[in-house]
Amino acid sequence: MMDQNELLANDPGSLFIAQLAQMYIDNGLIDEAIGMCEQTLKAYPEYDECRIILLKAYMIKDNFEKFIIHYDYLQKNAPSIPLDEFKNYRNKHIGGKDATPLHEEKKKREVVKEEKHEDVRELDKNISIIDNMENLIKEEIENLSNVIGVIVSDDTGIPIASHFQTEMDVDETTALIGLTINDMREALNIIELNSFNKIYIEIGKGIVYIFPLTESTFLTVIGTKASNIGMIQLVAKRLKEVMGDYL
Amino acid sequence: MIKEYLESLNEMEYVKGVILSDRDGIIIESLMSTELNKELLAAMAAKVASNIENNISQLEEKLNSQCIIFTDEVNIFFSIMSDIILILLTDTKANIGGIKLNMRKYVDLIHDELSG
Repeated sequence: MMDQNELLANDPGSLFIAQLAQMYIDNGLIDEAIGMCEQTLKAYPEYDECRIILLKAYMIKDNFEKFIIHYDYLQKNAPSIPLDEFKNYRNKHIGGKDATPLHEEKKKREVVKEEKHEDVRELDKNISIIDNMENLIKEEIENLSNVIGVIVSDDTGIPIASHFQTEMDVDETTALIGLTINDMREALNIIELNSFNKIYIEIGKGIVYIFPLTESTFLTVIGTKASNIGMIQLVAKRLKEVMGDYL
Repeated sequence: MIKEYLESLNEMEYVKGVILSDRDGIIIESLMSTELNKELLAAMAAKVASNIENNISQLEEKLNSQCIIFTDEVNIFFSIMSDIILILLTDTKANIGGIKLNMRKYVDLIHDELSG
C-alpha cells in the first residue's frame, strides 16, 4: 500500500484518496481515514468525494460537531450531491421535518420507555401512599379500644388499605362492605336522598361504621359492641382529613 | 298499645316520625309529621334490613337489630327485630345514644306485643 503523503503528493484530487479512506473505514481504521481526509481537504476543499468519506467517518465516531460542519458545507456548496444516507444521523441530533420513520420509531421507543418509567414512578408513589395509609390506620387503631379492624375500600368492594387486630378475610369483608354501601345508596335513593355522611350498623357481636372518604371510597371501622362510637367518629374524622388528601 | 309505644318515641326531642313495618316494607303503624313519604321509608327500611341480613350478618352468626344512616338532612334509625322493623326519622341534632336506647326498649316491647 502507498504512503498517504506519497499519494497526496502525486495526485491530491484523485478519487483514489477517497477510495483509500473508504478502505481504512472498511478495516476499522477510522482515525486514519479522518486524518487523511482532513489533510486532503485543507489543501483541496472542493474534493467532495473525500468530504463524503469524512462524513461517514465522523458518523461512525459519533462526532456530530465535526460531522455537521462538513455536512453543512456540502449542502451549501454542492447541493446536487445526495446526502440521504446521512440524514438519519443528522436528524437524530437536531430533529427536523426530514426525520425518517426509523428515527421516529426510535423516538417513539424513547417516549414509550419514558412513559414506562413514569408509570413505575407513579406505581412506587402509590405503593408508598398505601403504605402510609396502612401505617396511619395502624397508629390510629392502636388508640382505640374494642376495634377489630379498619378498611379503606372503594364502592366496588376492592380493598385499598386495611389493618385488623384479629384474623379476618379482608377480601370477603371488603366485598360485603361494598355490597352494603351500594344497597344503602339504593335504599337512600328510594327516599330521594343521594348520599350519607356515615352509616352505623349494629350486628350480633359487633358494630360496623362506614364513613365516606371520597365519592367512591369509604372508611369502614369494625368494632365490638363495647366500642366507643364517639371516639370512633373522632378518629374517622381525622383519618378522613388525612386520607382525603391521599385519595 | 303499639300506637302508645310509637307515640312515646315520637314525642322524643328532634324526632320527626316513627314507622313500624314488616320485613317486606308493609306498614303496620305509623306516626309521621314530615314531608317524607312513609311508604317509601318503609320500602327503604325493608331494603336496609335485607341488606343487613344478606351482607353484614355474614360477618357474624346472627342478624342484630340496629342501623343508623346519617345524611345532611335527617338521621334514619332502623331497629330490626325478627319480622318487624321500627323506623325513626330524626333531625340531625337528635341525641343518638338516647334514641338508640329507647328504640331498643320499644322494639322489644312491640315484638312481645305482636308475639302475643
